[in-house]
Amino acid sequence: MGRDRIADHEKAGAEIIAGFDTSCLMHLDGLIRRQNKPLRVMHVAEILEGARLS
Amino acid sequence: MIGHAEKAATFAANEDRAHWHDQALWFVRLKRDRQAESIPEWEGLREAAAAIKAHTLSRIADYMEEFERNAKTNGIQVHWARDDAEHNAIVHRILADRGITRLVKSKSMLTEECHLNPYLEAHGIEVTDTDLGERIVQLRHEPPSHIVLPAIHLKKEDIGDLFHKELGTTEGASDPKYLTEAARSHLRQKFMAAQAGLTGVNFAIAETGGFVVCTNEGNADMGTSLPPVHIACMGIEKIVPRTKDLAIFLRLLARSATGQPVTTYTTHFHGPMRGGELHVVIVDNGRSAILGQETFRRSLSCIRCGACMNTCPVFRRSGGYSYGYTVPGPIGSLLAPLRDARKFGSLPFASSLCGSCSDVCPVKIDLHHELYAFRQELARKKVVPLYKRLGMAVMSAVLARPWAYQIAGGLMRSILPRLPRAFVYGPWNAWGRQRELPPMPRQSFRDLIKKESK
Repeated sequence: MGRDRIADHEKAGAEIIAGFDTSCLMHLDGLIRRQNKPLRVMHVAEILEGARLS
Repeated sequence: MIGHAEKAATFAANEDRAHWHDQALWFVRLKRDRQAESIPEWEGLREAAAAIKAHTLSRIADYMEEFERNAKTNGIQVHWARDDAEHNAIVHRILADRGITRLVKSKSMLTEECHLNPYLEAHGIEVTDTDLGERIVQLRHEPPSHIVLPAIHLKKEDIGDLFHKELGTTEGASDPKYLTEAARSHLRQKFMAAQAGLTGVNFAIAETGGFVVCTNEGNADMGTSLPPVHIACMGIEKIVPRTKDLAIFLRLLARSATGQPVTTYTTHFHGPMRGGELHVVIVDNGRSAILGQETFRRSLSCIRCGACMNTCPVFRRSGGYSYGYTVPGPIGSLLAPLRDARKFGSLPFASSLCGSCSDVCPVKIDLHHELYAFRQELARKKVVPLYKRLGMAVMSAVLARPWAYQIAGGLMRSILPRLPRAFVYGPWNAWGRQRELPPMPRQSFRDLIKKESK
């Protein structure tokens, strides 16, 4: 299921997958890292933090 | 005992085929959506169906007796079977008393559940499944992998090879029309030679004592029109009170199952053919015991449309055989462990609890909540493997105590990066078999907040 989800995002040309469910994000991130894909996974909190600092 | 996860891994190992299986079932799900969305009153139909089933289950004994009385008046012979053994013996006795050795069957998941075919074959009766998908898996000596689409795990090339071997079709031929024609003439001979026909029952009607059989291939009609003896086997949950209830269930069934407005053949039986016999075998086989469990009794509302299988992300990617039970998918993951919690204890965990099954269920069985409840039941009964119980005990102890959680987090952050990779990804790390752990952050979120709010 994770692989299919990642393939969907790749096909759509996405660079970052964002979400708030840590277990889901960790799952996708784990697969992406293992397969050395160019996608990044971010938690919503990380995006908010980035916006605050910039 | 091999659990669902292990068998699913075998299925998923062939990535191309697993992907194809996923897409094939998703296609059926989309067809179902188009049909459901084309009816403005769809949700009302589901509500009504759920209410009728709940009502019927609450007084099922009365309705069964009403059905029996009216069926007898119609000239139908009614038999009661407590379990699979009684069911098989009754069917065999009907055939044996009449010297019948050739039986044609249309689709009946109940007879799969009771393992009727091997029983009859051991008693010298030739049994031919006449639903095309069922015939295919029968020739392969396999059970169905899906209750509506029994051979959905096979591609047309597989069927071509099988028919070449069994029916003498041209080697390498896989044109569906050609293969279907071959099966058709093969089955025609079986129909002509049959001495009795056996069908399932989709709906039995208490007020009339009649019943309805739905097929797309007309095989139930062929099998019951030619031979003089018709045996229909039904579980007790197939009963509906009134004929007019069919107006709801028949509209839901085919749309949910295959995305058709109605099954090609919807045949009403209200008595034997002239000079023939009609037998109905009513089977309990554990259903009363399920009825006695308040949390799970709604699973008996199931009309076996298979929609929960087609939509389930786990079923689509793990195949019907990974469940190891006649009825796979979300509904099977309840029905199987309700029968034998130890043997089928892994099935309630074969779900992401996404809830898609509950959304499509035409009789509104709360499948994903029941699966979740069943997991808790299994944990209480200590059927869950020890490593999982221990893991959960440690987790809940840590998560319930902020200080323990902080210590555990600190240890992970400092120790994990220093451990050798071979240790971190040892055989105990099932999560890490296909996944890479994230890099450990230098500080925790709690530390970050503390610093920032100074």
